[in-house]
Amino acid sequence: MSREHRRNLRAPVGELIPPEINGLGKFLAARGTTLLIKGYAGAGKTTLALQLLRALAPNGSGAYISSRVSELKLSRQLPGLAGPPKGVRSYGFHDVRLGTGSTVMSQILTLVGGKKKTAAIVLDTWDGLAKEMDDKERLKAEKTLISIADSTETRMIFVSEEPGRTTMDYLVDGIAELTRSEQFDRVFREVELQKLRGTLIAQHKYLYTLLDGRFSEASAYVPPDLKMLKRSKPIPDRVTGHGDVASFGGKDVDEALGGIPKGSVFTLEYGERVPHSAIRSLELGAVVNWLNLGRSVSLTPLPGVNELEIESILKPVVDEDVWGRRLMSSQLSPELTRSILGIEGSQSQIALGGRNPVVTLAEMQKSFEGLKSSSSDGSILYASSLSMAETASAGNLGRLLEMLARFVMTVTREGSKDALLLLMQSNSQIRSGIVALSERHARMFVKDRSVVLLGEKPSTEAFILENDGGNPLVPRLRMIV
Amino acid sequence: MSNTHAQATYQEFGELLKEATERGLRNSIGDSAARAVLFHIAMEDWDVDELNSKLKGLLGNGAISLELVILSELSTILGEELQLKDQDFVKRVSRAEKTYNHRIGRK
Repeated sequence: MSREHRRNLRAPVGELIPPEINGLGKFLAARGTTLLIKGYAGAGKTTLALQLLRALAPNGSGAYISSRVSELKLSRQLPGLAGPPKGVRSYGFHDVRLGTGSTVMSQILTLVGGKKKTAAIVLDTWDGLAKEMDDKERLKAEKTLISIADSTETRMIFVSEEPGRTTMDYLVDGIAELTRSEQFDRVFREVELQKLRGTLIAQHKYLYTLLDGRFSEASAYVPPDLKMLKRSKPIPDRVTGHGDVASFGGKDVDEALGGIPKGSVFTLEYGERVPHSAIRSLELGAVVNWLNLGRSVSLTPLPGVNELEIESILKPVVDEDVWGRRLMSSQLSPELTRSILGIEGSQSQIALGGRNPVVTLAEMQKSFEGLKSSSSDGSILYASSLSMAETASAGNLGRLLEMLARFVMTVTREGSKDALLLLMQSNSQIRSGIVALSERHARMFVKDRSVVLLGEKPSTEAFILENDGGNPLVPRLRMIV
Repeated sequence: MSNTHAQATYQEFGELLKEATERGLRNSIGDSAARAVLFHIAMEDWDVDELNSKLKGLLGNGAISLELVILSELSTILGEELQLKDQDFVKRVSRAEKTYNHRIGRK
């Protein structure tokens, strides 16, 4: 992945209060609120706290009280947020590393009691100071701080590294905990809004990233608006030392997953909670690009999607001549599947509808030949959902896998320009066999309401699918780890 | 000679109020917070009006319960039961000051 594009896939610099965590913004809009940001070391607590401070206290009306890091070090660690050590910034820095609970409280009282109103104070970290007090003393000090915040209408943000519940958890108005989880060998950062008194928490957990030194949350997946479909210039194959690589139709996905090598199998695995629209955006993005390069496609859509629906999506973005010539779109019905596998008679009659009804295995093979002859370079992209075939061949999955292996051999034969894009559910019983047949393998799943995409073969960073209101078949990706 | 002795024996009421405030703050908000608050409400001459205004400025309505503790400490120091009844903190302490000054022979 190029450096430039890596930058483009990173979080945009926008709102200082992460916009999706709207409950947090609304909660902090009220003066005198107290928020506890807690989490493990390196979770980004200071980044989030500084971002909130800058948003809440513009014009130098905020204060950052540090018990753990010097002004210079903070400026080096977070240049974008902390600003230059002696430069103009929107908050005052107060170094209390050698102070005590009493001196810190004194510092706070000076800030809130001054002529200039202090809009927000960050105390990073409170527990670093509180650990020097006994339990009773600490509780009293904390109650006093909360009372001061309330009476002086100063927002106070306490940063804590203490795991588990502390007395502060019960006293503050809001708690945001930064956690991490591991999934598929990737570390995911998550922010959990545990409480925001007086504010509805519509979503409790979000994925977030600290790329570029900013706290940026991942938005919940929103299906794209199909009205925004528009035709875009097809992306030509990328020529590499290992052969040509076809595009998914979007720069972000190509950069993230490396495209679809011709003469190979690319398997896109998806979890059961992944919306069809998300899977479709990758599948049809590749299909449209392939078609608009004058080539042919055999499409077996996801279950529940009929040919007419596919036609309505593709019509505005492909040439008229694809219909009946370069595109064969049909559901692989149970009957046809069984026919292909030889489970039932090969002449089973089935009605498929659509523009290119295929009723028998012989007709299907004939259709492939037709597609090949209509394709500008004789190549076909087979974009196939395995779901229906797997359901239809229950009890004969070995046969299905064998049939697929044979088909893969034809796609991957020497000099082949074809490609096979398989869509496979994560709980597929032939998953390991399919993955073994695939040169490339990517995974899509839902986490904290976001759709995550990552490459397994080869291994890539994790990305989330974002809907920026643009072309639904050109998904936008944002790096999330 | 007797006048000098009287001045040395009897503290100014302001000193007693300061002591009651210190004790009250330590008991209710703890040593660390008390030291910080005392630093911020420090006065040359301890005056109940100023004390009330500074505490309310820092702690808002939280100052009310604190003042009750201060009043209780002042009761102990003066050896006289002080209750708010229908008076506020400032009035009650001012009355206690008058009583105290009368007792020690000051007007």
